[in-house]
Amino acid sequence: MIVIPTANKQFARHEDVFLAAHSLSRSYGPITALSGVSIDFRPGEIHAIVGENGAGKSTLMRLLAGEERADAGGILINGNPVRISSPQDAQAHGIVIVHQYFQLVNTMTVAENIFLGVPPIKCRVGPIALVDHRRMRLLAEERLAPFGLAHAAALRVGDLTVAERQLVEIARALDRSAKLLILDEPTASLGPEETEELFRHVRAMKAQRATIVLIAHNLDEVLSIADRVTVLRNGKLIATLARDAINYDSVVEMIVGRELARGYQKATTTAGEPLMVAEGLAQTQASSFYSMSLRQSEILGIPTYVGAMIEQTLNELTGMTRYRGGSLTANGRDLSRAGISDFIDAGVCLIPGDAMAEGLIPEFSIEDNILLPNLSRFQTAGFLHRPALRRVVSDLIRELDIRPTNPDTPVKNMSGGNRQKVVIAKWLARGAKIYVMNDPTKAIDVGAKAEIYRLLGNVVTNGNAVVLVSSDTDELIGLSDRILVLCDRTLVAEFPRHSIDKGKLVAAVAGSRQQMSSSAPGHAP
Amino acid sequence: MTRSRQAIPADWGQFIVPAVFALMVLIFYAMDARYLSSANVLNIMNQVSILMVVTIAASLVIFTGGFDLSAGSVVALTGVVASLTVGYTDSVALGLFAGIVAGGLVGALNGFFVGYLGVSPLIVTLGTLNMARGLALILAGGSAIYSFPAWFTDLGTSRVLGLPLLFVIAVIVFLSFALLMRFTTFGINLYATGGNTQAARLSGINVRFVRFGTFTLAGVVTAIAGLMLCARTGGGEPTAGFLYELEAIAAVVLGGASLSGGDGRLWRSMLGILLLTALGNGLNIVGVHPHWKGVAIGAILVFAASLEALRRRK
Repeated sequence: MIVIPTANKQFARHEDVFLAAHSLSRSYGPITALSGVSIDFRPGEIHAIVGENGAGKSTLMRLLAGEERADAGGILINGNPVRISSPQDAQAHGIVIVHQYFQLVNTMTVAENIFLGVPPIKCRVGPIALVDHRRMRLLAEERLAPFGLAHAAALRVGDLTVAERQLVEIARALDRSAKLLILDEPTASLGPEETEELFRHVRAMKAQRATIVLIAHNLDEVLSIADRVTVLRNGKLIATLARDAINYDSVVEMIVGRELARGYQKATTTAGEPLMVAEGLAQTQASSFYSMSLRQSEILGIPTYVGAMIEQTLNELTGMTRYRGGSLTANGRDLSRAGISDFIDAGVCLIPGDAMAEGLIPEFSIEDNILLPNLSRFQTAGFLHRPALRRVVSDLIRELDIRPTNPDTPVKNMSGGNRQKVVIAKWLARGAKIYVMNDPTKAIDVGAKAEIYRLLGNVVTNGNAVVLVSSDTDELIGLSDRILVLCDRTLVAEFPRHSIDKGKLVAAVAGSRQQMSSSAPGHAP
Repeated sequence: MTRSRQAIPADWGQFIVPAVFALMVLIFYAMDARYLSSANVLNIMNQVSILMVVTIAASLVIFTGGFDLSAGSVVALTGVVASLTVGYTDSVALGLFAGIVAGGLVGALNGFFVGYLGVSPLIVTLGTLNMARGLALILAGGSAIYSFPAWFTDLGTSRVLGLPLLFVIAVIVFLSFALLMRFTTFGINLYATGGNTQAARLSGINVRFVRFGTFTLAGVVTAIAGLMLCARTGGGEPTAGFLYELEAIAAVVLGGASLSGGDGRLWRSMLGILLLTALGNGLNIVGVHPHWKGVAIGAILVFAASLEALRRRK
C-alpha cells in the first residue's frame, strides 16, 4: 500500500506539475534499486534521466508505468494522490512507456502490435468485438509513415530489423495520446537520421503539452534536447538541473561520483606471449569476418551495444556456436571445428552477463556450483572427493572475498556481485587461462563493481588473459590494455592502451552504429 | 541480423504436412482404390468429426501457450452427465445443457489454476484428467448409461446434404472459431498472450483472464465433442474418449503450431487431425493390423516435428 504523506508542501507549490513522485523506494531482495527518490514532471517538458547502469533509472520508470509497485512513497497526478498498481492504471492516467527491450509479439503483424490491447472495433455483438483490420492497417501505416515504415504494417514483427522494431515500439506509444511518455534508451539502436526523426516527434509532442521522459546513455544526445536533467546514482537522486544549469562536465561528475571516477585504473602489465589467435573467423557470410589476438596478462576490451552482435563473436570465441571459416587457436591448441568441451580443455571460459540465467544453478550451493566444471578433478569412479573440494572452495571464497563465506550457501540467496565472483571462482578452480566476459558488471551495484575490477586485475597477473565485453565505456577505458571496436563481426577500430581516448572511442562506436543502420535495407523512402 | 535470415526462401516448411498428406493419400489409393470411394470418404468424415472438435479446443489452449491433457476425460464426463440428466428429467435439452456445463466447469477449473494461480498447465490438466475420468466412472456406476431417445441417437448417423451431420457440426464449430480468431479481439488477445505474455500484459490485455477464458472455452468445446459422441453411441460411456487429448495435441503440432504459444492456425490443426484419421483409416483399408496405427501416428509426428525443428534452426 502506498501511503501519501499529508505534508506535501514541496510539491503543492508547483501548480504546473503533471506528476509528482514522493520518496519512492524499491528493493529487490538485498539490493536497493531506488531509495527515497522525489521527482516531478511538468507538462510540455523533456525531462532526461541519466545515470550509470544500475543507478535506478529503469526501476523508477517501471514504478511510474505501473509495472512494479513501490515499497514506499507516493505519486500525485495534477495534485491528486493516485495509485498506479498496474499498466492499465498508468495508461488510464496517460502514462505510456517504451521499453529498451522490446515488448512486441514477434508472431503477430506490426499493425496488430501497434494496436495490441486497443484494436479499432467495427462493431460489438455481446462480448464479441469485431476488429476492423482494414482500418487498423491504414491507421498503422499512418503512424509508421513518418518513420519510413508504412510498408511494414502487414509484416510480422519477427521479420523486422532491430532498429525497425524500436521505431515500431515508438510509433505504438505515440498512438496512445500519452500525457507522459517514457522513452527508455530509445536511440540505442537508431542511426543519426532516425534519431533526429524521433527527436522531431518528441518536440512535436512537447509542443502539445505532453511530458517526455528520456532515459539515455548518450549524454550529448540527451543534453541537446532536454529541458531538465535528473541525475541518479546508486538508487538515489543526486540533482535535478534546469536547462541553463546543465553543464556536460558537471553532469558526468554527478553520474560517476567523484570518488569512483578514478577507481577504474588497472595496473599496467606487460603483455606476454599470444594466448589466443583468431584469424578470419566467419560464420555464414564471407563478407563479415575478423581477426584478433589475445596475449598473456592482457585485458582486451570490446564495447557492446545494440545491433553490434557481439554475442555472436562471444559465442564463436567460446565454442558456443561453430564458426565456418578461418582458424582459432587458444593456449597452443587448434580449435577449428571444436565443441564447447574442447574450448574448456584449452582453458577458454565464458563468464556470462547474467550469472543467474547462464552462469549458475540458483538452487545449488557455492560449493556445488564451483564443482560443476571441475567434476573430473574431484571424483573417482563417480564418487566425489568432498573434503578436497571443500578445501579448494574455502580458499577461493577467502581469496575472492565471496560473501557469505559459508560454502553451503545457495547462490540464489547472494547478491549480484558475489554471484559473479562465484562464476569466476568456478573457472579459477578449473585453471582456465582465457576469461571471456560478457558485460560482467552490468547487473551489479557500484560497490561490487570495484571488487570485480580488482579481481580482473588479479586474474591477469597470473599470465591469464581476459576478453572484456562491456557496455560501460569508462569501464573499458579504465581496464583495457587494448580496445577493439567490432560491429557485425567486422573490425571497425583498434586502440592500444596508450592511445585510448574516450572521444575517439565513442566516435568509433557511433560511426559503426551509423554505418550499420544506413546499410540495413528497408529504410529507403 | 533478421534481414539476412529473411533472405532464406521463407516457409517451405509449411508445405510439409500438406505434401505428406497428399503423398499418403496417393499411396493408399494406389494400394487400394476403395480408399477414395465415396463410401470411404464419408467414413473418414464420420471418424474425424468428433476429434476435429477436440482438436479445436486443444488448438485454442496451445495457441495461448497452454496445454490441456484433460480433454479425453472431459468427453467421457460430459457424456455421462448428459445421459444421467436425460435419464432423470426426460429432457434432451436439459441433458445437453448439463453436459456443456460439466465441460465448462472442468475447463474453468483448469483455467483458474493456470491463469490465476500460475500452476503449470501440464500438472493442472493431468490432475483434472484423473478427476474427470474418476467422476465419470463414479457417476455412471462403472458402466455405460444409454438414456437418450432414439431420435437423438439417429442424429449420429443422419446426413445433411449428403454429408454426415456430425461432420457438418464439426465444420460449423471450426468455421465459427476460425472467424472469431481472424476477425475479433478474441483472436488478437489469444495470440498475443501466447506470443509474448509480458508484452500483452503491458499493453493492457488481461492475460490471466485470457488464459482462464481460453481453458473454459476449450472445456465447453470439448463438451460439444462429448455430446456428439453421445449421439453416435447412444449414451454416456465413462471410458469414452480415451487418449483423445493426445491425438488432438499431435494434430496441432502436425499443423505447425509452436508449443510455446503465439503461433499456429486453426485450419492447419484441422489438416493435422484429418491426416491422422485418414492414416488410421488407410492402414485399416489396406489390411494392416489396427495395432500398427499408433506406431504409424507416432512416427509421423516425430518426423514432422523434427523437420520443424530443423527449419527453425536455420
